[in-house]
Amino acid sequence: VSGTRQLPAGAVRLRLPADGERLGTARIFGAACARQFGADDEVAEDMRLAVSEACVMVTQAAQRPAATVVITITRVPGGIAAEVSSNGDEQAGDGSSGQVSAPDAGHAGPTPSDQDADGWGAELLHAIVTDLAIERGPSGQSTVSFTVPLTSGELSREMPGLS
Amino acid sequence: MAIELAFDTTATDGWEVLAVRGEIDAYTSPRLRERLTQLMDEGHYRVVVDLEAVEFMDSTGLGVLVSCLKRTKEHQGELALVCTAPQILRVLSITGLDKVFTVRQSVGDITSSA
Repeated sequence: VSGTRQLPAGAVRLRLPADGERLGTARIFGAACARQFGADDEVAEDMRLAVSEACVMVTQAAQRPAATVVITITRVPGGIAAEVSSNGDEQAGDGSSGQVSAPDAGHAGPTPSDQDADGWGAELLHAIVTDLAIERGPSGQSTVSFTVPLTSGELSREMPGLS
Repeated sequence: MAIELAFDTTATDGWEVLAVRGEIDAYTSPRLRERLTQLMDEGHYRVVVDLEAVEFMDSTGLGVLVSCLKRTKEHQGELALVCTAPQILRVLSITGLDKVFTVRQSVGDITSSA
């Protein structure tokens, strides 16, 4: 898929319409992946919040409604890495693997937030993740990547197949 | 999966208590704003937002609560929160809004003390 990196080994990816109605699905995916990768409830909750804030960020950054949001989650040493990207000019339903249809016009993406909310979103992300990076492309596509650190207790547990 | 947000409003000791149920995010927060605005348009400026049945709240939810708090303050009122969920208390704490809002563990803690 244009603009989407190849899936790293061990990573899990979800592609869904850039529709605010799907934010709950994105959150469930983030938390479920975190638990699958050995996170406790607190870390899974952080991933849930971070994925949600990142989805809003990439959708609102698009110059026009993004067709899709792609979430990729990977276990990395010391934490769980996530990459949330919007394909600003890409149309959903182009036949790509796993593609889902674009939202109907009656369900626009997230509505513009309060002036302060954007700042709080970034503040929340900065507080709960590390390695936060925000990239914006020329056509409205953007990517937010970050790592949610695992606790020392989680790191001490054996996780076969993960390193 | 559509996210639903539901409300239940009661009047207690001079307060309007808005119990919210569901998840508050960029998609659902306009509904919260609409409900709170409706209460204030009706002249209710002492409002308790009960978040006990809220499973998630993000920065857009904070934005709605803060803008409504400002409006109640403009009318010498108050917008207080009921919340015990760690994940929501953490969001309030990170942003420093736990110092801006009156946050209590029960509706009675707010309505009986004012």
